[in-house]
This record gives sequence, C-alpha cells and structure tokens, in this order.
Amino acid sequence: MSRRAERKIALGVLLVLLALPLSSLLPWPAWILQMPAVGPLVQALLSPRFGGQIRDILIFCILALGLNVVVGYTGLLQLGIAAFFGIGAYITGILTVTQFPFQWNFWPALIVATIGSGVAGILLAAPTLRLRGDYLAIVTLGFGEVIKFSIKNLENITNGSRALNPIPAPDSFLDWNGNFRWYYYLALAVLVLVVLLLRTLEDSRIGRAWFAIREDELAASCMGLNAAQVKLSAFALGAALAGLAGSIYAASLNQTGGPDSYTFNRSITVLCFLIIGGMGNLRGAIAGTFVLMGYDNILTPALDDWIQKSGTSLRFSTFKLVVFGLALILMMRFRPEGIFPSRRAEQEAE
Amino acid sequence: MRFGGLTAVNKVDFAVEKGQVFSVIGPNGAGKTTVFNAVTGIYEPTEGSILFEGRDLRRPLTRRVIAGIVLIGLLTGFALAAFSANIDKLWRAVVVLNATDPGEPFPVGKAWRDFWAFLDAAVMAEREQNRLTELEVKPRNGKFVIRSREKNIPLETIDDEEMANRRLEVLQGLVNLVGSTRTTIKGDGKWLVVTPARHYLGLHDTEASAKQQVQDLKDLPEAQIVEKEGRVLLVKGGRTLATLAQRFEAEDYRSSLAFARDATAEKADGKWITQDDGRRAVLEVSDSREKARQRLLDLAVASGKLKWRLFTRASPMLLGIAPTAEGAQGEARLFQEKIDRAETEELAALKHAQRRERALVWSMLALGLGMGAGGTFVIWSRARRTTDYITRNGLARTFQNIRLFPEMLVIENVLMGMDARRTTPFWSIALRLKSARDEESAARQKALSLLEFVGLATKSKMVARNLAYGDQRRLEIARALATEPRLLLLDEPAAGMNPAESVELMHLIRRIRDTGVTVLLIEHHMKVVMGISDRIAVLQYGSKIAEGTSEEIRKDPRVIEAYLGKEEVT
Repeated sequence: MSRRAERKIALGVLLVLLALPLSSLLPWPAWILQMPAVGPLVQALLSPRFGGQIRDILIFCILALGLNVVVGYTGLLQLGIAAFFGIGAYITGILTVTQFPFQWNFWPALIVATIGSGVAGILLAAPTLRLRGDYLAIVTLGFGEVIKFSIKNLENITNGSRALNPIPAPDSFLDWNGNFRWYYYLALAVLVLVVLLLRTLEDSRIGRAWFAIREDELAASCMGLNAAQVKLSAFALGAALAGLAGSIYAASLNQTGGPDSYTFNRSITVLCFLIIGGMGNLRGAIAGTFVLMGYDNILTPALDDWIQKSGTSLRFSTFKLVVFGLALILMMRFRPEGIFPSRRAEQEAE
Repeated sequence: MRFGGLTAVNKVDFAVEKGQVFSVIGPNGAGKTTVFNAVTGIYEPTEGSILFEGRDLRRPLTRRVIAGIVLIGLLTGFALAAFSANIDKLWRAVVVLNATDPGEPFPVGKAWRDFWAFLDAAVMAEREQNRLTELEVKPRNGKFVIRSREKNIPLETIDDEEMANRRLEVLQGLVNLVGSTRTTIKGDGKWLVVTPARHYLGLHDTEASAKQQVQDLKDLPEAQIVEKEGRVLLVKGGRTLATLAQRFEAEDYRSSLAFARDATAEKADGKWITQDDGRRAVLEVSDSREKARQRLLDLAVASGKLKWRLFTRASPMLLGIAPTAEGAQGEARLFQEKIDRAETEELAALKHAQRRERALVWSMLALGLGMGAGGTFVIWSRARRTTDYITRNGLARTFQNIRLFPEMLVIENVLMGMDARRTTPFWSIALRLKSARDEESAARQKALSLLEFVGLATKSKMVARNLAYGDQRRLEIARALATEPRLLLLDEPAAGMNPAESVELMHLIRRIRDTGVTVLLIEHHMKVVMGISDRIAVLQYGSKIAEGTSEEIRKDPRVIEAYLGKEEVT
C-alpha cells in the first residue's frame, strides 16, 4: 500500500467517523427503517447509544496510541497504563468538581491532566531506567496497583469508591450532556491531532531514537544517544497521552469512575488492542481498538438482542471471552505480527 | 581490566597518533575487543586511564548536574514527607474543611495557615474537636434530611425546610450536650408544651402554667408590637407575651414562633426529659431513661462527637436504673465525668500523636533529601564515562558482531548516527516548524553523501536486515562516521569478507584516514592490517607483547611465536 493510498483510506475513515453522529439527523425514509433485516440495523446505527459507544472507542484509541509509544515504539513492556489513564481522569476531577475550591473549567484541566500524568510517567520511569523486559513489566504492574489502591484509599481527595462527581460540562453554550455528539467530536478531534503528532514524530529524530532503543540499546548509546533521556521521553509522552484520554473519558462520563475503572485488567486489555492490531504502528493500534472494543461493546450486545428476539434463552455474552481467547490464540498462531504489521517492509518496496 | 577475579586485559598501553591508522592484532581471546569496550565506555576499567586528546572523557560536574541532583533529592524528600504526613489528612485539613459553597471565594490565606497548622500539634487537635458537631440540612427528593456533614449519616427526614432547620438546632443542642451540662429528669407530675411535630417548647410544674404557654403561643401571631419605656413588648388582649429590646427582634420572635401556634400541653408522666441546663430548654422526651441516654450517645456517635466508640459500646454498664430522679442525676453526673475524662485523654493522645507525626514528616523530608540527592550523586558519578558521552566527544566504533538497527531503513541507520548532535527542540518538531524540516532534510542529504562515500547510495531505502553481509559492515562504518568522530574504532571490519571486498575495505579505510579521522583497527586479516597500518600493537593473553611499524612486527620473534608457535631448535 503506497502512502498516497494509505492517506486516502485514512481520509475515508475520518469522513465516515465525522458523518456518523450526523446521520441520525437525516430524514430516513420509513421503508428503509421497516425493512425486515436492514431496518433494525439502521435504527441501531442511528441511536445515540451507538454513537456513545463509538465515542468510547475513540477515547480508547488515544489511550492505545499512548501505550503504543512505550511498548510499540520503544519496546518497554509497560503493564500499568491504566494508572496514567486514572491519573488523568482524577486530575480533571479534582480540578473541576464543585466539592473542591479549584472549580476550573474543563479545558485548562484537560491540559493540566495531560501534563500531570506525563510528569507522573517521568517519576515512574526515572528510578526504573536500568530495568529491562520482565523486571520493568513487574514494576509498572506494581505502579498500576499502587495508583488503584491510592484512589481507593485517599478518601478525602478522590471520594474513594464513590468517585468524584459531577464533572461540569466544558462550557455553557453547547449542550454537552444532552447531546452525545459534542464529546464524540471532542474525542475525534483529539484523536486526529494525536495521530498527526505521532506521524510527525515517527519520521523525526525523536521517533528514530525510540526505534533504535527498541532494536539495540547498546548500539544506540554508541551512536551518542542518551538512552535514559530517550526512555524518559517515551514514558512521558505515553503517560501524557493516557492522561489526555483519561481526562476526556472522565468528562464524557461526567464523573471520574471509581478505582475499579483503572485496574490491571484495563491495562492488559489495551495491550491486547496493540497485539491484535500490530505493535509499533498507528494503524494497528487504532484497528485493534476498533476490532476488540467493537466486539465487546457493540457486537456482543447486538448478538444478544438478536438471539433473544429469536426466542432462545441463550446469551452470547456468557461466552464472549471464550471466543475472544480463541481468536487471540488463532491470531498468535497464524498472524503474530497483528492485523497491520510494522510499516517497514512496505517502505522498502517504495 | 578485570571481571570478578579474572584478569582479561592487563597493562596494555599504547598511544594512537592523530591522523594515523593504528591496528591492534592478536590471537583469539587476546583481549582486543575488551580494550575497545573499555575505550568506548561499555566497561569501566578497573585500573588505569584512557585519555582522548589529552583529557579523560568524563562528564563534567556542572552547575546543571548539581541542580538536577538537588531537585531529585527534594522530590524524594517531598514524596516521603507526603507519605508520612498522610497526604489524605493533609488534603482534608487544607481543602475539604475549608471548602466553601460554589461561587464563594476559597479562603486561600486560611488554607495556607491550615497547611502549616496541620503540622502543628495543638491546633490540629482543636480542629478535630471543633469539626465534630457539624450537622446540616440537605434537600433530597423534595424532603429535607438532617445528616452529619462529616460522616454523611442521615439522622432524620422532615418535609418542611423551616421545620428541618429548627429540628437541626435541637439535634445540635443535643449533640453539644455530650460534654457539657445536661440533665435527664423524670417527667412525673410535670407538664410539657409540645407541637405535633414533637418540638418541645416548655416544661411546667403545673397544668395551668403549661396551658397559659399554649394560649400565649396561639395568641403570639396576632400580638401587637408596643414600644414602652425603651422596650418593645408583644401584647395581645392586654397580656404581655414577650419583652424584647428592638422592634425587629420582636418581629422576628413573632414570626419565628408561628410554627408553634398549634402546640398543646401534655402530661409528662412516665417520660424522661433531656434538658439543657445552660439554656433551661427541653430538648427531647423519651419513654425511658435508657432510651434517652442511648439516643444521646447515638447522636453523638453519628455526628462524630464521640470518636471513642469503644467507650460508647461499653456504656451499657453505665446505664443502670436509678429509682429516683436524684439518683438519675447523680448517675448522669458520673457519666458526664467519664466523658470529660475520656475527652481529655483523647485530646492529650491526639496532641501527642500529632507531635510525633510532625517530627516524622520533617525527618522524612530530610531523609529523602539526603537519600535522593546522595543516591543520585553516587549513580551519576559511577556513570560518568558512558558510551553516549564518549561518542558525542568524537569517538565512534563499529562492532565485531554487527549491531545495526535491523528493522530500520539503511538511511535511517545513518541518520541515527547524526541525531545525537541535533538540537531542534521537541515542540518545533511536533509543530513541523521550518527549522525542524530544514534540519531533517539537511541531515538526509548528509546521510546520502555518507552512504555514497561507503558505496551504498543505491540501497538507502532498503531495510538494514536485508543487506548483504559486507554491505552491513560498510553501513556500520557509515553510521559510525555519521557521528562525526575524530577517532574511529573498527572491530574486525573485514571479518567474513571475500578478498575483493577486503581490498575495497582497505581503500575505504584509507579514504577515511585521508578525511582526517584517526582509525584504530582490530583485525585478523593480515593482508589488510599490513597494507594500511601506520603502527601495530600485538596483544596476547591480555598483555601487549609488541608495538611498532608493520615491518618491525613482521620480524618480531614474540609475535611469530604467538601466531605460529615456538620453534624447537635442537
């Protein structure tokens, strides 16, 4: 696939995503909505619930791209990305809720949440720079647990398991909570900006430094690269993107979500997005998120509805994890590099 | 250079002259690569020194490094202090307890004082006491809930807001009684004035006086306000219902008791009355003395006034039954004393704990500062001779077993060599500013010319992994040259090359030398070594056995011995 074709496809996907929430405003003729098989499907696609699910997927795409910087580009196995997601959400919460004296607007809180979790990323990475592979994975896993329990136990700061709420709408002249579209477009716009940023970095000396550390750390430092700085920058950017995603997530929920939203489980799920989609490239991270979250949040309930309508008491959701596990095994057996492997082989052909 | 007890290289010294090609040769395992690793900072030599252009390549201890070390120390200190101070409590003392309603300004100065006060024992202990009696009224589902502000325990639900506020006053009074003077007296023979919502307005010894109060309360809303001799009277039908100082007070009084117009008098036989001794006001009436007391304790616990729950749990043993009112009063006094004592002890314990905590916080801050800064300094000083710093100072190398970046393009491999010297900041790259783009395209131009120099220009878009072996060697050299070295260390560049390639390599090395780069070479391939070296050093078993020009080396008996074995002459 040449770059031009790739750009066209990306543009197409973007247009579809832009048009999706608006499609329900169109006057759909009744005969389409009443067609036996197509009608319910179209109705489902037009519902705000569907739009909300796509919005969640877009937010998680940002999170997956953040993790991709650390795991995919730099090759540091990071199992605590949910912690930074949570830090972003809670910084936004603390700065905006009426319970605390700050009561900021959402926009500055978004920026502070991004920077704040980036700094948290540096604070985690700095003492662990000398660790590699499994050891680093264990440390990040532990960090994730520490953050989860901190959220749970710092009752006065985080409201414990009751979560901070309500997070006010970003501004007063748009109807943020009555209309799912605004958060949807916010997530989409941020995602596009993040993709553009990462595309730029991939082709710059910063991206190259990350790849070099992944490929051969000793050789990289023999090229004069300060490995510590490079790793710190990857950790910081990954954490900052996760915090950005967390901040938007919290805003779209109107609350921070309890500590159980930021568990190890979530970290692993996001890692699965990358593994399924293909490590170390943007398309892979986004495709993996869409496939897995689409399966989990959209396809499974839809299948459940469909099966129930046909009159059986069977529920697909009871064994959705079985299907997921099988798919993962088959994927690893026949296409271990993921849906979209790294861009390298194609670049050579050009 | 030793590894554990094993000496790998010992007393090797040689000087490489500027602009020369210097070769190090020797049999396998002689320690050639170890010398290279020591020179490029991969290993730290256990003894001896390595000088480049007359100086030791170590990171200088600049002001910036010191600032960084102090900053890390401070961060560690604050982190430890935050842990030991219990950041949750600190937040509460500074933010939660000072929180105001939305729209009102946050008392920043007070919060700042509280921040320091938090670390100060006495103030904190008092605060803990004061905040405990806070009850509040909150609207919920059209009704009004009285609850404790701190623990969020709902106590009563009332339909009308004004009633709820009144009730709040009563409950707060009740709660305050734990720890102040109050009596629980027997109601036999007495008369109470009470509203249907069980607001107690008075206690009378006779039915007549109770009835009189009831009548007065009924009359009060229609009472006239009369000013007389500097006082304000509320008068109805010639009877003075109340005397106040100001007119607005009288108006207030009249309207504030409007809710009590349908109060009635009732007999208090068989009831127990909890009375505020200070204000002489009835607060609550219960069926039994036990209930009255239990109610008080429940309220106290719910509102947080009684923190020592154990004491409360243990209280049943206090709740004996006194046969007379005097006995009950005596017991109440006993109970009171016990509460007072517990409160004093609690306060003392709290103060003590706070003092200990404050000492802990400060010592943790100091400990963290010392540990963080000290540890960072130790780690930094151990890593002063690192490969990246040495490379940036003009000393580049290749590897015996090729270490390219296999998944990256050929040109990217070369660009990697240049990246460490580039200076465009992150934001100008992220925003694709012109300076960043110019720098990148200039670097690409230079990378291409370097590839041309080693003869790989046509393969710049290939993935490095797919290059032929000889090409990979030359790419490594190009990558090393991209770091702009003044001394280039080549580790067996001719390994695995056929004769034609070796000759080409010799030309390449010569051309490199001609550009002014000094070359230090490890090589097995004698033809290459002898062909291009200005000077040669020979290593065996980690020691230098000979050094000289190629002619001298060729004739040196020790070298011949090392390579060919000793000739036995008999």
